[in-house]
Amino acid sequence: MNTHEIVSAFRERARLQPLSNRSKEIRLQTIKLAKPNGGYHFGGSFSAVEILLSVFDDEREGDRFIMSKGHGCWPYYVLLQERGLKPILEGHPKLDPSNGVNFTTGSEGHGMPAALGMALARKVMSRPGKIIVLIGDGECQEGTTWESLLIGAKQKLNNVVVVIDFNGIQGSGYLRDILPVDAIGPCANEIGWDVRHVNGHDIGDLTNAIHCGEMGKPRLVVAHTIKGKGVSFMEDKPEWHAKWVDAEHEAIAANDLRELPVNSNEVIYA
Amino acid sequence: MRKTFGKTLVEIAEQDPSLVLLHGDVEQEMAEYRRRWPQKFFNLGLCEQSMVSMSAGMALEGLRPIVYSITPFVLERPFEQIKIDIDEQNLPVILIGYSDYPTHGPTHRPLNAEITVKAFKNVRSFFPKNGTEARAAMLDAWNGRTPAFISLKRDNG
Repeated sequence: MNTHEIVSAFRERARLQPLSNRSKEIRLQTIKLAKPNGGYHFGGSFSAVEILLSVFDDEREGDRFIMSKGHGCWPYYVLLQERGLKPILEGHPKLDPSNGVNFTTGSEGHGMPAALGMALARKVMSRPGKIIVLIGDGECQEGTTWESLLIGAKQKLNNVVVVIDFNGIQGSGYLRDILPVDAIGPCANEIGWDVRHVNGHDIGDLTNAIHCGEMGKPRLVVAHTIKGKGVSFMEDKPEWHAKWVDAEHEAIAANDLRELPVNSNEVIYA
Repeated sequence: MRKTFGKTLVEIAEQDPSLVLLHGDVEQEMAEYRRRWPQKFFNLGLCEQSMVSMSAGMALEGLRPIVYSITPFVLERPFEQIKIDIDEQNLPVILIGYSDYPTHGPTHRPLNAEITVKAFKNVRSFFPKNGTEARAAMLDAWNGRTPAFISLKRDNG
């Protein structure tokens, strides 16, 4: 398959992926936490929920996580609060390691090289564990992303996992119309990364790609996702990159995200 | 002053194993350090912005990076990386810039490093005038454990 066919195939899987009750609950909590704190980057928050669940629920000892796509911070805060931590509730994360925030992010293109620095430091000190960093696909337009691909391969950082929330939309529209980055997978592969494409709403796929298998090279997980996943009026709509959710919208979202009985056979294809 | 830099680098590294040296393909007076600590010596190529972000990541893991390049390339080009990753996070990274290139054109001269560095909240800055002052600046910056910028010029030291 060529790159275009790979992206199309995985996007279709991501679109059809039903969400578990846990995934829905995290989305509901995300709205509840963001609104009173002035947060409104829901599209990129909801595309990232399953990636975050995989990072958090399947965390391995010694792992350290950086939320480089800082605008998608609200579900990240929800998961930190679940652990009893108290991150600062601003629209982009601020360094606070004792509360699980390992780097200040929000300006794109900082988290990936920072993760590489952490990974390189662990090499120098012969320390175990891996560094996981979640970046956006818009963030892949930043030069530092490409610098980091070169450096990660050269320094043989087989203790770093970069996950791209590949939802196809950035602030003003679709990446395909603004500045496509589909080539990042094949380029990273050529540079010397272990590149894995996954359905970014399938926890099993994500956990396999992020946490499992021998790490011989730095790893790049291209997680194909749907922006606004799980909420009917947000899905794949650029306007929901950043938009205030009013009471009417919130009611629709709550209905979309209603939990199903545990034994229900009903499957909602969003 | 660059010779003093190289000697002081070794002097600090002998006492503190947390020192790591990153440079942006500007290897000046680092031969002795490189020979003795090759596993803590990184020429990261021409990636100054990533180099500064990486130094912040290394500091958060407990190392003490010294980041070296020509002044405009270590202070101006990665300005936002210094602002967020080093200054805002208040990490003990020492940036060292060399600039004394009167015949190299505008690219190799900073605008005014003394003014530029004042924009930061936590970065201490040092503008030594000779080798003795350069050594003192490096030791002061090292022992201070704050973000720091040191400007080096050409002299015989």
